[in-house]
This record gives sequence, C-alpha cells and structure tokens, in this order.
Amino acid sequence: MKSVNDKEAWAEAVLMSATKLEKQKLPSGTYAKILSKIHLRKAERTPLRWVQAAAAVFLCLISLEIYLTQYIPEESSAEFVELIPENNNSLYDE
Amino acid sequence: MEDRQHIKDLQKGNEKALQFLYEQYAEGIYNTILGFVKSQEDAEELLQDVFVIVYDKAADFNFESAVNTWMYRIAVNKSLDFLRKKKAQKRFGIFTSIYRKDESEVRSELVEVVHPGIQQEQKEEAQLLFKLIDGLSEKQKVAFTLTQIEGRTQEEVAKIMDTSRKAVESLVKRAKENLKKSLINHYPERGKMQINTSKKI
Repeated sequence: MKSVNDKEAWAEAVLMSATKLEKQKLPSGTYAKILSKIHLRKAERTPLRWVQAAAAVFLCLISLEIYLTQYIPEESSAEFVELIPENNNSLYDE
Repeated sequence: MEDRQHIKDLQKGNEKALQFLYEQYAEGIYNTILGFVKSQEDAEELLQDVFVIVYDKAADFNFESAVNTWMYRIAVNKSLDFLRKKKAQKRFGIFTSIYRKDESEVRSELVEVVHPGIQQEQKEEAQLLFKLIDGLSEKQKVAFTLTQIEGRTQEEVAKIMDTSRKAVESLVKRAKENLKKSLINHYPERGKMQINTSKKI
C-alpha cells in the first residue's frame, strides 16, 4: 500500500513533466502552403466581385425606376398626357 | 512597433509583411497549437489556417492589442474549435462507423495522439497527463497549457485570454489542483493506463 505522500509526489512529478516537453521545429514548406491557400482564396473571390458589381448595377436600375415612377413632377407627366387624346378610344380607323 | 508596420503593409496587400510575421512567430504559434492538438499534422494545418486568417483579417485589426497577442488568440481559438470538433466526432464515431464501409478509417481517427515533444521515458505519464488536461474546462485548459506547457508568463496569457493576471493565476491553480486530484485517483492503475477520462473535471 503506497502512502499518500508517495501518490502526491508522483502526481507532482507527472505535473512537472508537462514543463519538460521538447519544442518542435516548423515543418518545411509550410509558408509556401499558406501562400498557395491565400492565392486560391483570392482566385475564388474574383467571380464574387463581378456578381457584386452586377447586383449593384441592378440595384441602381431599380432605384432609377422607382424614382421615375414615384417622384416625377406632375407637370412633366401632363406633357405625356397631352400626347394621348382622351376623346379618342378607337384603336383602328374605321 | 515593427509588427504594427507589418500589419499596415499587410492591409495594403503586401505579402512580404506576412513573411516577416511568419518568420518571427510561426514556430511559437506552431508549438502552442501542438500543446493543444498534439498531432504534428493537425498543428501544421491549423498553423496554415492561422496565417490565412491573419492575412484576411489584417484589414480589421484595430491596433488595440499587440500583434503577437492577436495572432496567439487566433491560434488558441482555432485549436479549441478543432478540439471541439474532434470531441464531437469521437462522440458520434460509433454511430457513423455503422454507415461506413471501411472501419479502419474510423479506428484511425479515434487513436490517441501523443505530443511529439514527450521524452520516451516519460511517455506513459505524459500521455495520462494530456488525457486529463483534455478533461479540464476550456479556460483551465488554455491557462494551464499556455503557462505550464508553453512556459508563457501569466501576464502574456492574460492578454491572450483577454482577462486579468489574477484570473489566470486562479485558473492555473484550479487546473493544477484538479489534475493532481485526478492523477492521485489514477495512481493505483499505473502500468495499466486504461483510464476513462471522458468525464469533465
């Protein structure tokens, strides 16, 4: 039967073993792998930029459409009305 | 001061700045990751991820903390994420093995990894200690690994963990107490090393 002191001493020794680990050297070629990962991600991102640009243009067109339909002054819309005679509903000459 | 310039250069997309940071910190970060994950292969993969994140997130770096503290924080978070995923994989390993054709594939994933820095004569004890460290709470694990295994000062660890030095001191103390208790409990089993450490300490 081991004494409590023996157990404690052993536990302390095991705890101390954590401080005696040998430091490891870096594996060779790791930096090249990092750079290739970065370049790969860059290449993957480029088409996304085009998608973003297309979305921005689309958004601008929608905004312009809303502006033209909602905020166009009444005077200028009246100019269009004048072009269409109200008293003539016939589509074809009889 | 130089590190901050490297980050500023990195923000402009200068890859050379990343190389400077790599040459200065990669080995330390690699050993820190190794302290958590133990496998050289996984540590190398995570080290690569850390530097990719550094490159990607350099633009968001706000210079409130030191550059190396920020980099070590990324490394610790990546290591903890990896351990969480590995734990979940282990938990469901038995279930997934039912659906897999190649059982050896599963078995190889569940094999315990030994830290490459463990000296041969201490292998059994160190392996037991690492198993018990895995059972610690995350905060205790980080504080113990960084101070005891990595040999970092409590001040450094406090910055990495974004907490006070007192808090780190207390975490290390509790981690040591928990580990000591568990080690004493395992003392009679020395030589057998068939220990169930899945329970959180």
